[in-house]
Amino acid sequence: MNRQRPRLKNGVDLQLQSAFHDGNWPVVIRLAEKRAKLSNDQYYECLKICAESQLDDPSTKFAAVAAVWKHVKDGSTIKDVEAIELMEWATTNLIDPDDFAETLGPLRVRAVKASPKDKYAATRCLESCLLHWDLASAQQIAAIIDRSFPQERDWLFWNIVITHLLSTSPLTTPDKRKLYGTLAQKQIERAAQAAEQAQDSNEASNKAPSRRVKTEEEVLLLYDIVETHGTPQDFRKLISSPIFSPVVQFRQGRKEVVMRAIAKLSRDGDWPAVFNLCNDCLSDCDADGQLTLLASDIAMWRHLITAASHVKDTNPDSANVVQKLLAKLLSSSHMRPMYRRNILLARVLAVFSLGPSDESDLTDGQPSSLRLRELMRYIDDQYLSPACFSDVKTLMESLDAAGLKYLAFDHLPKLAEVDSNDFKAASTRLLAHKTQYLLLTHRTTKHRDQNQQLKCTVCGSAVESTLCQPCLSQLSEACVTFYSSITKSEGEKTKINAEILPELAILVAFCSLNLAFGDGQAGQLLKPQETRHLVRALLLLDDQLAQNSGHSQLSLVLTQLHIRLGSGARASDIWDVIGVKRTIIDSLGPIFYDRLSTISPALLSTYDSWGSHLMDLLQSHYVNSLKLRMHQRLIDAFESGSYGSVIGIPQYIESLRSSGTRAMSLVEARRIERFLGQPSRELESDPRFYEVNDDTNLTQTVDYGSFPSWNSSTIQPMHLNLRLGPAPSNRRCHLSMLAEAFHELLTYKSPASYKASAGSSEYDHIFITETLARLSNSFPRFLAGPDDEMTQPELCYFETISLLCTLLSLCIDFDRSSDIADALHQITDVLSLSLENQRSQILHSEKPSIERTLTMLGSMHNIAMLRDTTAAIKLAAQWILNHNEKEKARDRSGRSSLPKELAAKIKDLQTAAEKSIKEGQAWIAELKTETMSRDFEPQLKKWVLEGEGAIKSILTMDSLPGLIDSWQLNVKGWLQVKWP
Amino acid sequence: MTTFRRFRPDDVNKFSKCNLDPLTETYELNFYLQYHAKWPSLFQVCEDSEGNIVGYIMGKVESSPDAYKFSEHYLPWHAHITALTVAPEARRQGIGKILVEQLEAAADTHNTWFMDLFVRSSNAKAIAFYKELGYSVFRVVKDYYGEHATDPDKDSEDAFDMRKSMKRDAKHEHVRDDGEQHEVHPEDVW
Repeated sequence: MNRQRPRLKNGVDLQLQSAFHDGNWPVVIRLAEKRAKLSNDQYYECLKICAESQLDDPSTKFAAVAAVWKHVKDGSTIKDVEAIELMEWATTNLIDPDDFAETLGPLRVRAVKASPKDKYAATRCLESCLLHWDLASAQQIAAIIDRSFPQERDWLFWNIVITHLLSTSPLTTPDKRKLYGTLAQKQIERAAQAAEQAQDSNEASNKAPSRRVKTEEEVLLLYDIVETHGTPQDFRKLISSPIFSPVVQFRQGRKEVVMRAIAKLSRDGDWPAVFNLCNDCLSDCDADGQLTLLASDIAMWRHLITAASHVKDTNPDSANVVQKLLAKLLSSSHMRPMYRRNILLARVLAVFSLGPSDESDLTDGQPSSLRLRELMRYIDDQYLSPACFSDVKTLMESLDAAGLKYLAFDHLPKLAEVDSNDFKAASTRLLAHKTQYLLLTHRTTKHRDQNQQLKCTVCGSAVESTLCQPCLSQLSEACVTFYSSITKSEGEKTKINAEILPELAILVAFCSLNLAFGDGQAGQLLKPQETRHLVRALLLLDDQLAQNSGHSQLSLVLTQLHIRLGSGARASDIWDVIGVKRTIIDSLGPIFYDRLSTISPALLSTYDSWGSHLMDLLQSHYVNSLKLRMHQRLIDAFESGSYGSVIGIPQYIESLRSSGTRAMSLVEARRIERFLGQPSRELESDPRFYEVNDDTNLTQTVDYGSFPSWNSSTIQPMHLNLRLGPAPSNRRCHLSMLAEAFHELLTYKSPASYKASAGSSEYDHIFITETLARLSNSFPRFLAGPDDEMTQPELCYFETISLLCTLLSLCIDFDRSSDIADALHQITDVLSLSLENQRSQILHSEKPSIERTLTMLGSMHNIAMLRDTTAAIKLAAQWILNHNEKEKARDRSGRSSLPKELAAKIKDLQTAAEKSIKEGQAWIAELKTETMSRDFEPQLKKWVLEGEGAIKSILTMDSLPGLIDSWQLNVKGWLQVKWP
Repeated sequence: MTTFRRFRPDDVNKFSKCNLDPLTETYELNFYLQYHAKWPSLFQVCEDSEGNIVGYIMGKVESSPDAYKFSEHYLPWHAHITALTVAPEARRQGIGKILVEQLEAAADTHNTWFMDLFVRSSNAKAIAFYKELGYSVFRVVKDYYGEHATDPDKDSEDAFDMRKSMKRDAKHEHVRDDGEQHEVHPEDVW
């Protein structure tokens, strides 16, 4: 919270002011005490207490905290708001932010109640309660202000919106939620009624009551409240209102109200109402009788068409109405290209949704269905638009295989031949190839013949998976030929280089990647021949990026490819150029940072400037945006009467606070610190840790919108294939944080300056026992769930730590008289198996070869997980054995120490972990020898160019040295990793 | 395939198509929230069918502080375009024009005299775009930008302060034809 020192109130003498300003606390205490006695002013008493709280003496540090609690318990009032502000400042970081609602919040309310007409004091108190997100106190204050100043309409709506916020807050009990909801609804409906009555009586605006719903923001609030708390009848009454009906609002240029109403009606399945509303808005004309087009968004057209498809049985004319409306709008005289495109596309959508659905798309090799013909009409009009492919992709996928094949291999190539202009011909040909790629990645192009053999509809050959390798190779060849030809052509070179070649290179790379991934094995280790496809794709895209620096699609795909192949340094160079920072880090950060610490731990070391820069880009957004419990801009929204923002900002801030990327930023930072032996502050003091509990739902918001989305939706998108593993999910984030808490618990060392007192070991024991109990409870809660939310090595690692928590808990309070020894034997057996399992996740052959080197370079995530698993086992085993020795010394009866054979087993576990550590270290040493060898580059070059593949002919190999440098840097970084 | 609507805070999670373009600056969250909080109707986005933001405009309404009321550089109640961006793949579709027109409609609702904006004097494309929409140069702010966008030998660049009258300025008293002849200094701009 904000620790800026407040200004003392007006009237405080200069001597005291300057002592306070200088932080001369003993003088402030003395002078304030004197003034308090003389003036009997409570303010000086508070000032004295706050000054005492600034002293280093632990006995006075909590003076302000104690005073606040005393006032709360006594029910007494600090009348002076400036005194409360002093208290708030003095207790910052000493009172838990969650306790504000029980301490300073109620004191603020009491102060406002004591002086309800003091507008300045009341608004200050309200602001503080809102920023501390104490809605209960804020609501009371808002209600008091509204009562005190009934002539000021803003207070009315502040009161209503805060009551509404309180009624939807998870911190409010269900019965109170209902109560506040009803209250908010009654208040705003009264204001709405006042507006309607004023209109009925034709009152001039200056005579109309001020406490009425007037602005667009107030109308939006009215909709929000009635929608949330009202009955269906209440909502129906609202949308029929002569003032507030969506159509009336739309005619005043207020489109948001319409979108709100349509969303609600669609959720309720009231399709006739959706149909009529969309129709009214889309056909709206201005005073000159011209169509306004304000509603001609694709979302509005979609709603209309969806509604028409629902009502067509009861309203057979609905399809005609849609068609007529489309024709009418298309004939509009002032049409922008964007609106025209929307309407043309809506015409196609209408045919797909409302037209016949049982037609074959192709008959005798010619388009026969209405939908295919309508789609071709759209493509013929829009094929030069860069967005044409994404506009029609879903529609193309709805065609049957023959129809899509016709588009991809007949219609579009013919369109390309028509264009004499080099750029237009090239962009049409690219569109044709992208459509062919869509066809080849579509499941409907594979069918089973009479012998149940899977066959490709396109080429007729037998296939083993969803993807036909001969077809993909052929497409790759065609694209490579096209690539070679346009790089040699002279016409419109700049435009072709900027707009065609990057996408064409990605298409060639995608064909190569599909040859590697087959049916999709996200995150799994690749075999050498599969790795070769990835390396080739990477080299081609890196070559292309050299021509198109900062190209976002190339950069994002390449970032993923480099990380997947263990080349973190080059990934960081590419990432830095596209400038992902500040606000967009939350949605894009995981693409680069997630699991990066397991690939290139040294890359993010905050001990060097580059690593520090990268980590700062990731972490500073959360520090800057979540300084206060609620964002300061909320107050601006209140002051501007922006009630939509008043509701939207808190929702966003709460979601940012529980963002999976925020949690990931902590986990990545902690893992790097552990790997490199660079400890920083305690985990418990990090808000990313202490603001999260087991009930917090950590949300995943990864923005894949800028990745090329060319795969058919029937198979996995390419960006998911390229990831190291699943995106940060709620479960994985929780498990990762719990794992960090486990490591911190077992590696914690008291500062050298700290002298343990006699009783402190007992407190340590309690702390460890309680923390382990907490971890033991939490781990199973998040381990239960589908396996596809994390990589196999991660799952194995988390399961291992969960078991270790149980093992430690049982060993700490071991009692030979109980029968837990068997359970302990079983746990140690499972742990040994887990370790073995983790080792088996790394494909390693004894014989050195270029394949082995590349496989190992692509296995760094698994090696990192092995390192963490062995570290956890070794730490836990050591801790248990040390504890056992202490117990043996403490309790000579031997009842609380482990039986010999169990202790031996734990010792064996420790030995196995140590052996595994040595093995891991040896792999890194071998990697160093192999990647630094003089033969590495020529061997790699030869290996990349071995075997089939059209892509080889356009690889310059200029990017190979950069890739090798990046690998070498990575291996050097791994040499810095501490193996415990 | 686009839809125009007001900005919502979680739109920042769908900004990549616009903000990964090197010509678009990404600001701190505070900046976006400020516009959303104070002028929600002047922060409009254009989204594609996948919900990606492919264009957005940020604007505000304001006037110069009263203390400058009698200064020749005083700006009466007006609207200002702070940022306008369209994703590379969505350009040449008229999205920018629609966004500006929507802002102008909102500016008229706020009863402003004119709309203004700043543009680098070297940014011929943007200048032509705004001129086509009826904007004209009102004044030249000398050395407004700290570096030159196209000439690395220069360490500053002028800005064109461009304006268009809104409905309230029916007599076009707040625009001029010879604006390129009127030079001011950055300290004259508030």
